[in-house]
Amino acid sequence: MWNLFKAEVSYNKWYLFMILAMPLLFAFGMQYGFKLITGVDFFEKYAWSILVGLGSYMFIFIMWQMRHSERRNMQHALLPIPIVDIALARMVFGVLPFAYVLVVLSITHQLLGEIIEVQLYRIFAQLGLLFCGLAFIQLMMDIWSLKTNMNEKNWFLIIGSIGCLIVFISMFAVFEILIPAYRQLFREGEEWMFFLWGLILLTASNFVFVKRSTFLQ
Amino acid sequence: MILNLTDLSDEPLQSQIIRQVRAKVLSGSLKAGDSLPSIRKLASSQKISVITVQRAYEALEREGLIHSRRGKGFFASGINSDTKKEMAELRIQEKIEPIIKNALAEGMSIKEIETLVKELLKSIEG
Amino acid sequence: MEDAIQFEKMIKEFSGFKLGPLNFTLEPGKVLGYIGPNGSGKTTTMQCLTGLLRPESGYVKIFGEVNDPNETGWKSKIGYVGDKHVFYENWSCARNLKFVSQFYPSWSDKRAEDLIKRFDLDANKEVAKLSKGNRAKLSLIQALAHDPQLLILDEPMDGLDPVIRSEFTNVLFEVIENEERAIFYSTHITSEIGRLCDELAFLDNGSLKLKTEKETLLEKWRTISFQSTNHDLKLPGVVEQKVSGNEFIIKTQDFESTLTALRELSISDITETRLSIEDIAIHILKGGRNVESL
Repeated sequence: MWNLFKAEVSYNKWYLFMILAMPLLFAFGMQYGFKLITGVDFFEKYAWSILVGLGSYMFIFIMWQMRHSERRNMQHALLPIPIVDIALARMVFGVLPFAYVLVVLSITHQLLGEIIEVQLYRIFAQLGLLFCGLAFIQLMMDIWSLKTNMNEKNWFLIIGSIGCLIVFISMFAVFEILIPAYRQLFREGEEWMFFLWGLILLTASNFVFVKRSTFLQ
Repeated sequence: MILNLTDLSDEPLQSQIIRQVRAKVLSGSLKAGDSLPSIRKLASSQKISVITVQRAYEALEREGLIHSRRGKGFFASGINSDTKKEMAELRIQEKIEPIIKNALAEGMSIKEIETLVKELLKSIEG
Repeated sequence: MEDAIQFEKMIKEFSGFKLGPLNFTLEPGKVLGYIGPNGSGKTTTMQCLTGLLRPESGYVKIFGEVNDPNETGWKSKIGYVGDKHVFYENWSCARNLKFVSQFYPSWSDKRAEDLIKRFDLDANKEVAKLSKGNRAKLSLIQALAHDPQLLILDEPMDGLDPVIRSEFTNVLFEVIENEERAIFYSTHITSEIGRLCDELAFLDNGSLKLKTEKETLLEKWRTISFQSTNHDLKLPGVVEQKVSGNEFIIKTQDFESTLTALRELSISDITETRLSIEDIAIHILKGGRNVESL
């Protein structure tokens, strides 16, 4: 698995470098108070943050687009590597830049911005949201790949199981009602739940990946 | 062992191998006890499938021209001059028969064919 | 010894297309030519074989092991050249080979270099800049350099020039010198594999029409011409018949029995010629639909 991950990192090193550099650019801009847009209060304050955020996501998007168009999963599935390892390498590679950007952005924001207090649980919550997003994209890709190589009966089964999965996950929301104790441990605990959801969804997406009936994409 | 095989002949590859190996054994360029290349070696060097060589070797073995020793491969057999002669006769018969039949079908008489063959032989001798 | 490939009642279905049930084996030491027109299911068979697709029912075993994509044993025994050549596009050929090499214990850098030389490939070139033929070459090198026990080739000659084709065929003949190696070779161009294959399998519209030894096929199929005043001949094995006056030209898929039948009808003056694999393939794949009369 690490061999695959290393190859991905090395292959995308320039994109990753840009993603690393962007929050630092942001910190620099904030530090020296360069104004990109003057006059509008909101943009004066957040222009750097917005630009850097969008920029980073653009690079992450390019990397995933490339991964998909070069049929990386198919290439890896043909090598003597268990499919589980491919799923894990894909997940780690997807999660890392997201996590990095978010953590660095939040910390810089909190160090240099107006919020003084470092609220770590917020980072977790936002990370969780991102994980959910990533897992969702992966699931969609996997399901799409299933659809293109399935007869109707199996396709129906897959849709059914995904439906059940969503209902199951939604039931976690019930916990929110039952968590006064939980709230005492983590302030605004429901935000933290996103992290858990993210992990669950990522695991689910890995499971679906391993059970894929095709590795042609 | 070098064979000259072609896809452009009507003769199938298998028969080409049989004919050429047979000629080598009968002419003595392969002596009794000389080893032949293994089936896979010959297939690879001549760019033909293993099954083709295998069938050809089997046919040659049936003719008594080569024999196999377990784990050692194939070897040319010793052929005495009587057998050689018999084989040559058989081969001539096989070749000439359809030609004569063809000539008869085209309206030549036995007599005419006989004269023709005699003249041919004379010119070859001379 | 275990079969190199064993298809057991394998079925793969898409909406509107069904492949199988496939039931056949390939023994080590043999080359099997998998012949069929475009869209007959050749590539799908290859993809089921390499674990890229999961069959709906039945299974495939490779050297006795079911081809579960989560198991690595069987994967390291095969070399596959598919219809799509996938690489890290912005890396050089050499870099791509280096990446792949780390997953195969039996990989030989020396062999890879030798193949690069023989196929005349510029290893320092970026994959994205390679022509179609050169991509195929890189795929072949990648499939051959770990000395696989089973080579699975899906129309591997596509885009190669004649010189490289001939060099590639030479390499395949070298591979099969080792009697533990097997080659599964799919193509729609039969001349490509006429000399190489020991066995031939014919696939049409998702089902296997015939699998047999090449020499048997060549011996059984003949074109026979003869004369007969009787126009109502019932001959066994005939797949095509042309009549003009008293002259007959027939194609048979069972020479022995057709000949016996002709002799029983005391028809002599028979001339016979063999058919090429290409001719035979056309007849098998058309399914004997063309018994015609002139």
